[in-house]
Amino acid sequence: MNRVLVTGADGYLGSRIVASCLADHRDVIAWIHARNPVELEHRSHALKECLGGDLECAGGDLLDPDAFSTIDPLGISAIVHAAAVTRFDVDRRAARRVNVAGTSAAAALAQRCPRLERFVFLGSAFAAGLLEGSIEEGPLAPDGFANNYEWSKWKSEQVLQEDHAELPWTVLRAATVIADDESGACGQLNVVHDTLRLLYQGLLSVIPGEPSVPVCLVTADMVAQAAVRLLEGPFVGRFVNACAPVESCPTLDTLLTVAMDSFQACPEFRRRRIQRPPFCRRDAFELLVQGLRRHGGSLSEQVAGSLAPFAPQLFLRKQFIARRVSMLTGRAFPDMAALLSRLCERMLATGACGNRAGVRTIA
Amino acid sequence: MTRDVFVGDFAYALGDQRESLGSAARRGLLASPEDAMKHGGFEQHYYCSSAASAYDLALQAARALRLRGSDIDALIYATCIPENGSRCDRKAFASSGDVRDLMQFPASHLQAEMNISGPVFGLDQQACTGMLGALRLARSLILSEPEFTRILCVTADRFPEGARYEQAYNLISDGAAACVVSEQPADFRILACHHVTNGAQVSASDEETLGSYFAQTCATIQACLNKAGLGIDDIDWIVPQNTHRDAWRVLCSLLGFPFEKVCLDTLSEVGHVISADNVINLTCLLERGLPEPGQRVLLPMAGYGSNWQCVALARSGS
Ligand SMILES: NC(=O)c1ccc[n+]([C@@H]2O[C@H](COP(=O)([O-])OP(=O)(O)OC[C@H]3O[C@@H](n4cnc5c(N)ncnc54)[C@H](OP(=O)(O)O)[C@@H]3O)[C@@H](O)[C@H]2O)c1
Repeated sequence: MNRVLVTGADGYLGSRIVASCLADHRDVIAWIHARNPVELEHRSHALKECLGGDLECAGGDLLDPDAFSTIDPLGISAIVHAAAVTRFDVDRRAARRVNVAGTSAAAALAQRCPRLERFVFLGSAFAAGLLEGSIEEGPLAPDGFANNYEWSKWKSEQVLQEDHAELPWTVLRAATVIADDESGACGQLNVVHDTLRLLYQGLLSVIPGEPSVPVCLVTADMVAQAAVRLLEGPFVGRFVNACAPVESCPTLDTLLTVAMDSFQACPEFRRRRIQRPPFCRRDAFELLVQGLRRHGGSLSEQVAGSLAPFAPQLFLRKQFIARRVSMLTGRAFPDMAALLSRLCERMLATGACGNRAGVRTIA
Repeated sequence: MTRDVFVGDFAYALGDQRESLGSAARRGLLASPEDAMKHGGFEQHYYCSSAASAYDLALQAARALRLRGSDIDALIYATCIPENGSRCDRKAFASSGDVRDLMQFPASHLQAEMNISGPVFGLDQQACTGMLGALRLARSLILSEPEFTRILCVTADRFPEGARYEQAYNLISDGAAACVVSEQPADFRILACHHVTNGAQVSASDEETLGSYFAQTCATIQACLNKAGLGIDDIDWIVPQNTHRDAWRVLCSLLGFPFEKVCLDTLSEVGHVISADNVINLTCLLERGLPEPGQRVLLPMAGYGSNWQCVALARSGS
């Protein structure tokens, strides 16, 4: 049997990759984060319900050295490793143990699979860390990172290059996912959505960043489609930057304008006369975040947990070279500014903007 | 507006009790951790003993000016907390049922005490921006009605018993301030006044206030500068509200203004004295022999309501 093992299978991107594989008539083992059989049962059931079909599920915890002990390597022809801690404020230890060591463990499993054709590692565009300028679809050598998450995604690439050179791996570096697809629907809140919520609620007093910095974005369906195309396609031992090409990346200033304009359509937003937050320098934003941390409270949690660890990127002019992803998907990228506008409309319509529940901050 | 209007004769009074930040924290008067407040630059504050009223503070500040009542044409009396705008006697009202007991206006009392014969204007619902509102109103009266040439502006507030003494991340002091707006040259010429009210934010939480603080403060300052035909580079000093020191560092970064030219001299000593901060800091700056003649000063304030005001001044003299 030629089966695709997808780790992080009930995660936001993992579940879409599983769905794409199934739509492509591939056999899948959905490997789910589960610390015990009851959790595995529960999460498997939920995933099957969601995908509406029969699905083989397995699970474990990447913190466990034998995380993949229940997997029979014989039947595996491809692995998509999507499991990771995806919080920007993850601490170094957890980032190392789950993301870096977890990638090692998944690659070690791949080494034991005699029929393995492809190992797709779901990386991040932010593996480029604090690099500026052109970010090629090749190995990266950043001289620093904005947060441990970024570091762990870069370090995982290193693990594949240095320790598993003989594996047929491909690194698919996803940019920040702005929406599920071109509709603007959004199944997962990340730093973009947290920031939009703060903006809508009038809680975002400043925007850290350079207005003219291009913001690199992608949709989840593009990433999932690219991941599936990679299963037996080209780019072995290569890197794919899964983001809109630089010429179609909107600037931070454009994104803020689009979001403010979109929210102006909402009478409640207009009534509150929320001002457009000014752009502020990095040191000033740091001061603000430190002050918020000292005072505590929910705003502190939201800003410090979500925007703050990401903020350094908004000062860096990165130009992602992204030639391969469109070759894989055969599609052009949507107009990201228009997509943001649809996203804002959706968030307004679904109440996602007004919900002050705790944020779940993911990359 | 073609004629010049001036402001000068600054004085202030503080609550008769002084206590350290630590003591305020121990008495449960803070909402934020003591450390966070200390980092913001707050060290102590003043509050009134039970017997002392906001009116007492107003009288003390007004008397400190040593004015002759006959030289004053009108009195503008601003308060932040509504109950400081009336010395209402609830007990007397309970037994008399006479609303007169609820209208013991402190402005009338002060007018009588100071031997002023001109009319009084009570100014409220502008929160901490009340004193700047008073300056603006005084200036407009002088420019529009010849009977007014010299107007005493007073602001006075004390927090009611049982109140928390932290508002919007600031340690509060009870206090009052007074100054005179006049047609005759005085310490400063008033260049422009600007006021924004966003009533939709009347119930804003501290976090929402913070959320709008930087954008709205910058916008209000910019609008005031525009009215004065100035840019931020034309300003020599900002004499603001005593608010968290880092908030002003951030604002300076946004405005492109040097933080060393922000006069927060009294922040650690008195905290945020409701509507009196600009006057207190300006007094301090004058004591330092500053600003120099011709230098320009901005007085920005933010208050509940939400109200945002800014006044631009130029130091008199050549
Ligand atoms: N979404 C984006 O914008 C984006 C952008 C760039 C790159 N990526 C990358 O894409 C991949 C998938 O991200 P996603 O957006 O789908 O995030 P996600 O929804 O958080 O999915 C990550 C999955 O990994 C699992 N996981 C976490 N810790 C684990 C552990 N100790 N053992 C086993 N599994 C564990 C999570 O389980 P729990 O739910 O229990 O935590 C979750 O199912 C990640 O590698 C991420 O770095 C995502």
